[in-house]
Amino acid sequence: MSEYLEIDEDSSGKETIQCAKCKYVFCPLTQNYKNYAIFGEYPLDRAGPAVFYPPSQRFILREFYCPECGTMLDVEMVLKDEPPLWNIQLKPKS
Amino acid sequence: MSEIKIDPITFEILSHKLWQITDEMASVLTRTSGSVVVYEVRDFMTALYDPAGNAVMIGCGVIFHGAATVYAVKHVAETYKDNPGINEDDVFLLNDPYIAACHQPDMVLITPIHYQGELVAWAASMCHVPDSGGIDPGGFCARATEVYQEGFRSPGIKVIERGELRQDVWDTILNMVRDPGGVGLDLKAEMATSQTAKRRVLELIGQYGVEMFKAACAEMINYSEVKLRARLAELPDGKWRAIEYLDDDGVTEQARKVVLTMTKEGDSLTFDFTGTDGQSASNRNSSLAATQGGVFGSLAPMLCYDVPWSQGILNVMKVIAPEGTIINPKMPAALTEGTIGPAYLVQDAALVTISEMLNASEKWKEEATAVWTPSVAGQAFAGVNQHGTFMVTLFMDHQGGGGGARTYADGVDTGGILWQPTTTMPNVEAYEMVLPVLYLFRRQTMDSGGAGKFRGGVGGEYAFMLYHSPTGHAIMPPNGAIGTEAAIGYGISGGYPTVVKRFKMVRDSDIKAWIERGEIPQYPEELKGDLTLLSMRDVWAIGDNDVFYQNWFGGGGYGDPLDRDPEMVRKDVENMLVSMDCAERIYGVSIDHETLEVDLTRTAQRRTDMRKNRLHLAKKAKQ
Repeated sequence: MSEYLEIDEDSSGKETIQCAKCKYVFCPLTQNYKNYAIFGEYPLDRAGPAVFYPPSQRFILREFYCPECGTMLDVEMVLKDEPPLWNIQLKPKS
Repeated sequence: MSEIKIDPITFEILSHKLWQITDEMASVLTRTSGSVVVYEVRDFMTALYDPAGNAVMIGCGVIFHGAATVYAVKHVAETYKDNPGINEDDVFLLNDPYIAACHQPDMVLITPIHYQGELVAWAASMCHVPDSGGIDPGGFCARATEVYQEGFRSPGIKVIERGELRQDVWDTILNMVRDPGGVGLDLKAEMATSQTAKRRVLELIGQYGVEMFKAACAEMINYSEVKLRARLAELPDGKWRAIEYLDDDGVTEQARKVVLTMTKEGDSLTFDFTGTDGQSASNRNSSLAATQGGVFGSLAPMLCYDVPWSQGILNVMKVIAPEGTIINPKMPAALTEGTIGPAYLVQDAALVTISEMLNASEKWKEEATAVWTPSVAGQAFAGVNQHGTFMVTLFMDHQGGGGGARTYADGVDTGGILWQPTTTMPNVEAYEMVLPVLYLFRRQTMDSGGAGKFRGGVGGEYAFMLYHSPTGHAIMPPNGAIGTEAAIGYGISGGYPTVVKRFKMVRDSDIKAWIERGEIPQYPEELKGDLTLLSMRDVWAIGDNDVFYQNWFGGGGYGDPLDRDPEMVRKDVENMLVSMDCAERIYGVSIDHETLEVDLTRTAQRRTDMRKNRLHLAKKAKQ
């Protein structure tokens, strides 16, 4: 599915999204994994203090992590009030 | 339509010959034009079309123009077939963005090719000429609020009729631009390349016959479509989404976004931009042709790098671009910034979604990439040069933008622009030869590649001053008004974006005292004088003691930076591509400041602590 997300099946045969590193199960494939991850919001200069100086007051980095192993799954660069983007929505097999 | 069937071997030969024609057209342009933008940077397009205007072969160059020009050729073929008529040895000029051009300075020349009186093909080329007569020199009109302020706009005018240059038309066009010498040279270079295309196509027909030529053209389109659909069928079905931002709309402070949902189902691919913000009151809008071209600009190199770039790809690519938005504005919106503003955001968004789709496939994962340099970062220069000639040209050092990180390797440092595979970074000396400027430095920028398990390629920065300027003054209208606040060069799978770009001027500086001492400043902040962060809404002026500075983008990163091999980080520090500060703070690598050796034990502990810290500080999302 991506570098850190993979598809597995639960006991009922439904496809789920899990962390490729620690196998933490986020949610069914039909839902946005970001709603089941944890996240932090930071100014842009987190990605490079010197090259982003002075950092924007409106745009932020929103980092999504696996709640189990802390791996960074995705980074959004968005306006503060933008909801999490469902960036990957694979079609279920059935 | 041809009445004969082409065999695979003959098709292979003819397809390469058609490709070769577009390459030779490019060579003619570079050898004939006197513009740095054309002969040095290669900011142009060459292509061949069938009689109905379908793209047969889009050559390397600025890719998106080849797709946009489909609409130009179709328009001329349909609109002017009876009046003034399409005759042997005619050449038409079109630069109307509301029909097909990407913006006014991108002047498309369209040439019908006849064989024994029958129209058998069209050749087309595009150059970004020095000026189009708009409110600001150089073609990008930062102060324009209507297309009427952006220069002359031709829906298709016959500049050559039956082999004769129309002097009245020629004089009228050059009468409307600031640098008639430079514009005239570029247009004549395009006329020369159209003659080359015509000669080579007729030679091909002479060798293989007109029916075989037609069959080859038809198969170019069919083959591309079949190959692309087969590739799509191997990729997973689903939806991928991306959002890109204009920092502001050029009039108010309101940021404007491009929203893309890409849907892949079986062998079909739809790019739906529903949700994109309404059109801007400034020139920060993209014509529909540029938007279509923008999607093609990412699709062609990502999924069709081994397939002829033809109408077959466009037949598969479905684009939904709501009218009245920054990617399909209504008349009379200005849109000269479109090609390097919203249309670039379209390309970047398309690249992210295509890459995420490839990354979801074990077979195609290695083809995925983070965003390459997400826009350009330049300005025009208008003034009297050291030879006493008034001229207008564009600074295009940003062509050495950083490549996006890949799933298995770093992006290429100052590697180029993904959708401009044959453009090049101009030499410093090329500008110093024709403009009254002296570069103080040009180099790769430390920390400008988006961090990640694999980092983006770094971008660059430079500074110059006026030198041997007879007037001690020049005008510099900016272009590329995106990415000065929002970091639009996204990483994927946990990679960070690349830098934002800055334009600075140190006015009334002490640069001449530095030079007299035999020293060169490394940063504009080292100079005495008034340091200003320049606004993209103004037309800048540079004076005799001023120093101008700008940086340009790198590429986005791939994967979590804490997963990067510590030895790769050490090498980056050694090569001054990553600072010690970022090595420790972003990558979690402990490096001895004297010996540059990595302490693996401390690195492992630091990374463990950083992951724990993420969990400690993070919030739970709403479910």
